[in-house]
Amino acid sequence: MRNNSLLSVLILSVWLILLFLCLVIGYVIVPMQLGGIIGFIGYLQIISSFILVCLWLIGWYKSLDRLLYKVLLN
Amino acid sequence: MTSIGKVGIDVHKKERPQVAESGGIGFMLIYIIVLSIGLLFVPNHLAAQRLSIMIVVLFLVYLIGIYDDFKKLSAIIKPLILLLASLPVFIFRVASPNPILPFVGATRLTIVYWFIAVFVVAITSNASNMLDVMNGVMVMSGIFISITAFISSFILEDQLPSEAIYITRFASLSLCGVLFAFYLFNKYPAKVFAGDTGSLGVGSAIGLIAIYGQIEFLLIVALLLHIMNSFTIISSVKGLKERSQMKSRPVVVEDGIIHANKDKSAPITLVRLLVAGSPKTEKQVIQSILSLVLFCCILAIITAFFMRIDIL
Repeated sequence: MRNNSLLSVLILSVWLILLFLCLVIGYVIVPMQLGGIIGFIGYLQIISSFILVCLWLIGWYKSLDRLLYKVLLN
Repeated sequence: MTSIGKVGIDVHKKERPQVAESGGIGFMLIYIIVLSIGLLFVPNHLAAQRLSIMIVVLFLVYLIGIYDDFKKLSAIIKPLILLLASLPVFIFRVASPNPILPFVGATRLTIVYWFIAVFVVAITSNASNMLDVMNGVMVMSGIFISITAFISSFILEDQLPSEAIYITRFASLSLCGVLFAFYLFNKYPAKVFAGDTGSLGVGSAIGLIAIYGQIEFLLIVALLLHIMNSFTIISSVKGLKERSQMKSRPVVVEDGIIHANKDKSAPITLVRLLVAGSPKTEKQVIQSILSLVLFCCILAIITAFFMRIDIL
């Protein structure tokens, strides 16, 4: 039960981070293209932010994964 | 399958019974036939094109699955061949390169989308394959995810075009139907295993529904547990490896009770995480995994409501 709850919290946190990132893209990154630099720049911003997010998630998840594993086995 | 000697040992049971393998050959063939019948009822030309490519890709994955079931493909070759099988998605660009994100609405990924789309089928089919570890887990999680896609098509009715709605509803409902029929034989205690044909087929079907039903983000959320399981395995064994190449098993079964392997070099899998510190029976592990998949699906349905919001 404890393990299930911990994994649920992990899933929930990943989901919340994904939603938060969408909010950041919607409110901060995309409006930056206003003022003439339409299309390509905005498009690049979305792609690069997604790549950064993926890299960050991998790093975050790997450390959390190790922590979770230690907690569960001990 | 038993008559031709295609049987596997159910390693998580005390008696280690022999169970018929490769049940996926039957239900995936039925699924492909049902999808072909769906071509008769398509609402427009684009839906027919999308469904045709789905059928072609699924059939290629089906052939790869059969080969893998009988001859065994290496852990590195398998995803590469799956990538080749999903090339029709890249060549015939009939999907929409405008995935909908929550709060953002439709984005424009006109170039990168096609490169990502090719990987989707390989990733989802391998993720489904990696979670096919216990009786009925892969099949029931496929049912949960297809029901999620079906429900979401109603929530996103105003955001999606008619061809995407048709693909999502028809493909997910028929997937749910064939999986439910197979589940009766695959549920605990299993009489038939799905095999690689089944797990790769179900995973690729979900990936294709995501692409052609235009619900990519939503199905990423529904597949979070699958993605996590694959990620922990790949990161802990440092790359794609076959079971035979792994130094030790992730779990140890003693008298029908599953314990986490204390060996540090053992791969970190979802099952190992679930039984770490508290050994469980196979049935309890199955219930735990399915409850987590259900949790992901509920989050995906909530995500569908957020996808209706367009702040731009």
